[in-house]
Amino acid sequence: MEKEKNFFEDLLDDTLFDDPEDENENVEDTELQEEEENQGEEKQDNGQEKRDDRSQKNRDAEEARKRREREKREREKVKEIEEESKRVQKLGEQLVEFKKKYPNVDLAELDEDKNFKRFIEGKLLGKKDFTQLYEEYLEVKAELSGKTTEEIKKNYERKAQSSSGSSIAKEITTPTDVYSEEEFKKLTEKIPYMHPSEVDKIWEKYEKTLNYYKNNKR
Amino acid sequence: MPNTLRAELVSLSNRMYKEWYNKTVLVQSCDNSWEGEFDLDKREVDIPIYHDLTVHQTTLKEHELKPATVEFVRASTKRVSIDKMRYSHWGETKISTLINKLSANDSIVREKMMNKWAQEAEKELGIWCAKLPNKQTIDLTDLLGGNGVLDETNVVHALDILKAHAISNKYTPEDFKLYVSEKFETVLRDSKILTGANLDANEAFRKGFVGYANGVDIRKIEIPEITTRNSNTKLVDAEWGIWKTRDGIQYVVPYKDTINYDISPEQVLLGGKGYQSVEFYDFFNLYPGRLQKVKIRYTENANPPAL
Repeated sequence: MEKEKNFFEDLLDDTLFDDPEDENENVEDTELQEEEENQGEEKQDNGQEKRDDRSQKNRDAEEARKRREREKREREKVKEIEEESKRVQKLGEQLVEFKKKYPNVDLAELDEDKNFKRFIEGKLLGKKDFTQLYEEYLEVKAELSGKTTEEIKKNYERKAQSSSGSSIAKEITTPTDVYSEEEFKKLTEKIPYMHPSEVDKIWEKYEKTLNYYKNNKR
Repeated sequence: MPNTLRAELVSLSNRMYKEWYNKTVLVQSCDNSWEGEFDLDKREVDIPIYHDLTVHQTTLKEHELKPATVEFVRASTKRVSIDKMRYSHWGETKISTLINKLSANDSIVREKMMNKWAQEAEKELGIWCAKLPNKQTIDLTDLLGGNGVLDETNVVHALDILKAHAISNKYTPEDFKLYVSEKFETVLRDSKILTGANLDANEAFRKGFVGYANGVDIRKIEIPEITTRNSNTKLVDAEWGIWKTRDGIQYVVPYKDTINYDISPEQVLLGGKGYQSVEFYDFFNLYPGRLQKVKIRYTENANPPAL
């Protein structure tokens, strides 16, 4: 769990990982300084204060207010730290769940995948959990590349296996559901003349073939 | 590896055709069959002929089941010349950029252009129908009597007249559909005779479907050029309706592609290649009785536009 926690932490809200104590300490220092200055001024005006009970009361009230504010800030600081640790904990749990579902996927590889990180940025710990985000990413990538999600997934699994030193041979996928180069070329020339109803019959396979050759060319 | 850029242009053209075609009502209502392959040089194509379908009669006693020469349904075709063409220049000289821009699912340029193509196709066909000769006209302004105004009190009678015209021409009224503006729909609603009794599951989702009234399938078209509108309210005062069967118009698009052409250095710095989506198309009315224009008036003294 501790290991998984380290991945994707950089995508959590940056402000939550900044040490909030530093900021609060600065605020406190300023306030203490102000208080000291106030106290110095108090000594000078002692004679007057004794004569003026009302101003004394005002100062007491001011100090009480500042104390309350300080306490409130401290409570908020504790709450933030708790929330932050909860988020890290939640992410860790989601990554553990993910590893259970996809044991072959290497999280370190995924953590280095810039596209994936761009995809999940802002979505992490949102409505969808990490596994759902990963699955959605596979779908989007499949759509864009014209491959199936299974093919994309296999790529990730192969990466994971090779990075962990596995000796499992890479799968070679031979597309059986696309036109041969010759057929594809002939169809490309013929389609502008074909009746729409005839085109409809071959369209799905033609588009699939087009995506296949397009992706393999690049 | 095959040339995928060429294939992508072909794919784009087909996609565009489907998109604009599905946005139409009147064009979609036409028969779009053709046979064989379009001859790009001669611009000729064969379209089917339906009027020579025959039913032979015999008696079981005679047992003459083949009294006529052998013939098959839709056996004959007519060779027609394709005369019309629509095209759009695309403002890109780099093919990969053009494809990426226009092929995107959410391409605004493509969407707008296809709306335009659909509107132009509807408009052209609508005007062509409105220009049909007098012998193909059903003048409701005259036939309804009085001031000739069609309203909720006589709309059933008007539909009866249309059906009677089909019957008198020896056609089945159920084969006909009436294409009219939104004003006709208003009249039908006011008359409360609009029914969905004959609906099949998908009917209500078809573009332009209004409903069935007095056994007539009514479809709404949006072609401003064949309507006369009130100058203030813009509501329809009069219009040309279209009363037709599917084969009343044969509308074919036998060629569609995206092709390149040379741009001279005078037009674009250093010159280059321009791209344009092209479609050859044409429409025909081989059976005058199956296509008629209907003169309709909703306001006294109003007349549809003279085209």
